[in-house]
Amino acid sequence: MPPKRKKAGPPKEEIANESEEDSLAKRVHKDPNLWKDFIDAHFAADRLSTLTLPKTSRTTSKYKLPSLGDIVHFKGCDELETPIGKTIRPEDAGWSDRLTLNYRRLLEQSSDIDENANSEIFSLLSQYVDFTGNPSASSNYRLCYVGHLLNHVIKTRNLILQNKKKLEEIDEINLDDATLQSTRDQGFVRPCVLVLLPFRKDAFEVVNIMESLVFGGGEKPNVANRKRFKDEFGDTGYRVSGARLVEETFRDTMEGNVDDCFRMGVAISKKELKLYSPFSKSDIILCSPLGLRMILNGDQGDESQFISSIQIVVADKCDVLLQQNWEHVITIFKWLNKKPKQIEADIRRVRTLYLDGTAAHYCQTLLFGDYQHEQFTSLSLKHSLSHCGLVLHYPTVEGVLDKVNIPICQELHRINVKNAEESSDARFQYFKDKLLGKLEMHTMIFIPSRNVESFVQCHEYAPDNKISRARDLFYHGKKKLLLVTERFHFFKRFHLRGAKNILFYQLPNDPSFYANMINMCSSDGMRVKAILPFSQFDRLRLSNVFGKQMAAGILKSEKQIQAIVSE
Amino acid sequence: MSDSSDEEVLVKTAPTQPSKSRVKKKKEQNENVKNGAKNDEESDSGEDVGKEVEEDTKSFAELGVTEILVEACERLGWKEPSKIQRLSLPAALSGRDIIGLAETGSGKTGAFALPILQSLLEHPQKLFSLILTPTRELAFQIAKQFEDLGTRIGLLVAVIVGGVDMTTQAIALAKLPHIIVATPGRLVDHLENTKGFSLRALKFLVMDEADRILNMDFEVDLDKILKVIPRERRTYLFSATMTKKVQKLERASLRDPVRVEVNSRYKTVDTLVQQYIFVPQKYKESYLVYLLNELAGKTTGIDRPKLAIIFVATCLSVDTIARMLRQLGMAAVSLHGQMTQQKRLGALNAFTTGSRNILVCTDVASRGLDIPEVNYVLNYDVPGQAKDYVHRVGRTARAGRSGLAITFVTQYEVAEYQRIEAHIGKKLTDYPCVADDVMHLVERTNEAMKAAREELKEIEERKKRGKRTYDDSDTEEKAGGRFKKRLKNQNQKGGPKIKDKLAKR
Repeated sequence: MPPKRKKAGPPKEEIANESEEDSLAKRVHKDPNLWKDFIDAHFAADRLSTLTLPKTSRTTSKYKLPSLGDIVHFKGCDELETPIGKTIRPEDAGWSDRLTLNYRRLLEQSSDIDENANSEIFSLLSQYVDFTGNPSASSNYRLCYVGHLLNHVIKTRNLILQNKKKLEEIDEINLDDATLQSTRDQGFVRPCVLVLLPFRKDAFEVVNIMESLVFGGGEKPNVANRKRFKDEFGDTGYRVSGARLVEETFRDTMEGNVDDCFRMGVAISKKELKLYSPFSKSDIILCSPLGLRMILNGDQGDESQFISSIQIVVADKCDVLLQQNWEHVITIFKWLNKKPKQIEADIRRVRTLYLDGTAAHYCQTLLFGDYQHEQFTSLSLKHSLSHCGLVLHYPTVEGVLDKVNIPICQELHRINVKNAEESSDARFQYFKDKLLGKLEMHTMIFIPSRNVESFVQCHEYAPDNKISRARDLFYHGKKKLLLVTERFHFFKRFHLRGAKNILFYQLPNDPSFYANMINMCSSDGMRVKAILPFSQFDRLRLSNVFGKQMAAGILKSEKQIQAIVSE
Repeated sequence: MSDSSDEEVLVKTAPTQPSKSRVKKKKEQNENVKNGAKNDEESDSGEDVGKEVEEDTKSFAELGVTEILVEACERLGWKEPSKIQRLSLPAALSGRDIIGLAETGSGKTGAFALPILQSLLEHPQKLFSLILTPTRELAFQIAKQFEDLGTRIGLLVAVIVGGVDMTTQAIALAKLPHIIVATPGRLVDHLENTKGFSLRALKFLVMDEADRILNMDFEVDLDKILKVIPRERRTYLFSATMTKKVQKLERASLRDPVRVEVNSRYKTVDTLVQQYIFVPQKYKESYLVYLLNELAGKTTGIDRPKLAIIFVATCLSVDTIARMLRQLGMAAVSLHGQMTQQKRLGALNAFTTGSRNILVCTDVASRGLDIPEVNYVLNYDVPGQAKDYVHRVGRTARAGRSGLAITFVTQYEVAEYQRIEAHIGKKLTDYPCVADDVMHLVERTNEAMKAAREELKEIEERKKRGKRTYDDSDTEEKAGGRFKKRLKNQNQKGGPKIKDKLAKR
């Protein structure tokens, strides 16, 4: 169940707590304070608006990092303080001693970690550049971003409390402009960090990391609502049957607490981590896209103001979010940092950047996914407007052909399209005219998104009995074709037997599914035929499957139909 | 109050207040303030002695306006001060409170804007001055003048009126403007609901059309506002007409005010011709159409279409008549209080730019609107109050132009009409018309009227069915029913809710 948020009464104890110095981060000891540089940077509106121009018109530079590989940096308003490639450590980024210490300890504790990758990601994040990439799990990027956003929140809170104290000492009548300007330290609402996660179990992990970063190993963690959190977000004990022949990754993804509808506020106050705090009193919003989408503007309410002052937004496991419902993510980003319907902060303390409507340029966008995808890139090209610039990560991809265990003949059909909008129509036309007629018995058709065709179909919305009947009919050759959607495979991972040929209507979003699907086919020793229509807009998907080099070759070739044969 | 109906000018100040020019020197001004204060202790604030001022033609600079503002005035084309400015500026610049009696269009805005800006230049401060006006249109008009005057000095002005989204206004307030021009209701709404918005450092309060602010439902709101602004402030009161209520308010919030009066007593300008037309109720619409045709036929030697304002008693009849006229091919727009702010501004804009030459409206538009080119004012319904009559006909014959005002009197409205005649102390002449010609129009008018009513009925029904199609067809776009509903909600919640925020103070 999503947490119920109540209109809270006057928070007596909180005021008492806030007036004291926050002990979580005692002092900031390094001068180059990246946090201050980011949030206090004042750029003229016309300079910021150049960031909304198409990315092709912006200065870019390419780097090759030892661990992460290729990245492209779109320059922001200013040069970065530390050039990309140089290492930034937590203490250089102005982290508090305690946070740094706990961060270090956690790094050491974690097994098989790629420390280089970790520090490369850290160096990027802590400079507040937008980042879209596919760091491997071994980089422990999650620890990186949780630490980064904790540092951000703690500093933001400390500044607000300091200024509050300062203002209390001055009589309202004597306030001068300079003081007023210097105490503008917040957004329209309190939440300044938004983390989008696919499942409750991910939120569970993130909160655990927060806890260890804030309290370290030694002392007793002081976490409000810990018990309730554990009940609602902890492991449900759900396991995929051990007898099933499925990949490890499927088990990793689908086991445990896979509820995909939740939203929770987290507040950080004196010596305490508060879970389930009402959004209006939270610093961090942890939610699934669905959970947040429900309260944005719809039957469940209209509370888009809570994401009107977000300074760091993280979308973790974008690959899973893509399989869930990418629409929600797009909707959320559309509402992000828009003019709110309601202002909760003291208007004299709202930062000018919010009043001027330039909030989007003071927001760091972080997208992490398992593979490259056109949706991730397009989202970040549209919404990553940080004045510090944007880094896109293009890791080398090897392709998944080596995972194919059976001999295949891959027939690649080029579809010529002028622009991306036409490509789905052109693809359908090509499928209907050129491919459909030629399909043989026992052909499985794989579709990345649900389509309306009347054959036997296995899609994610079909009830189980219908699916088993469909599988049966297909296996025994009573039906010629079997349609499978990608999400069906993602969520159910059924082994579909009886396919001798396969047609990929479009290449799968998740490259590993390419191998999975082909491996399901068997053609009694004959080569399985895989037909793949593609257009030039499928570049990312092609390179995910075939590897960067081969994909480039395929795209370059003039031939209408190419065949790639493997034994 | 003086009985003179002539264009006589009176300044009433404390007796020893020197009337000689108070020029530039701040030191001298301070002295004057001191003198004034001393003198005022002796004289009762209500008591004032009339004193004729010589017909002088001092420039702004000679009146004590600083150079930068004089330049601003020149940029706006204000060559020399208007009467009300000439009279009020010296007193205002010396730091006195003012009660000004003058019509809008007489340069009233300048009379309070200049001293405020001058004082602001001396002591720059955010949230410096509040100007209260009864109508939204007036608020935008005043704000525009402030902005024009203040372009060179980086002046920030915020307009806080109903019908506009609260958040946008809260953001405008968060920028801490120097000047707030507001209607009382919405301002109270912000004082109660917008965290961090306070007027505790306010230095100037101006009430424009002060009698109206008190006459309508604003009194409660006004009291709330007066409670949260400092007593230590300067207050200017401007109004075209003076009521007892104003005198009450004067005691409540003014300190030793100087009373400045530019010939009050319902003065109507010489260039204004006032007539009445006696019509049978049954053929009232036909007479209106006839009259509009007649007036349109008259040549004034100007190319642009002649502008006419038709005042009607109710919002519903505004809509009906505007539609009826449009049915007959006339370019009519409507303006009334039940329209959204957007549409009101849109209608007004269409009228001022001359793209529509007939404005059908309620008394919402009777005050403050300054459109110099209006040629005719038609009182389709006799105004309920004599004062309203003066305000209505004041919309024409502005800025030295000529104008014609015609009042429709039916057999049922004779008594009201006579009250008005008594009030303005004039017998009006009958507008000659040919009854036969009117009768020719009856059939067509009735048809148009019928069509207009049907249109409205249809809209009403569509609205009931919950579709957002309040189509006033004045302007091209359709206003959403949603917006209207919100407006209604806001209006409802405005009144009784005095929140703890105010109570705390």
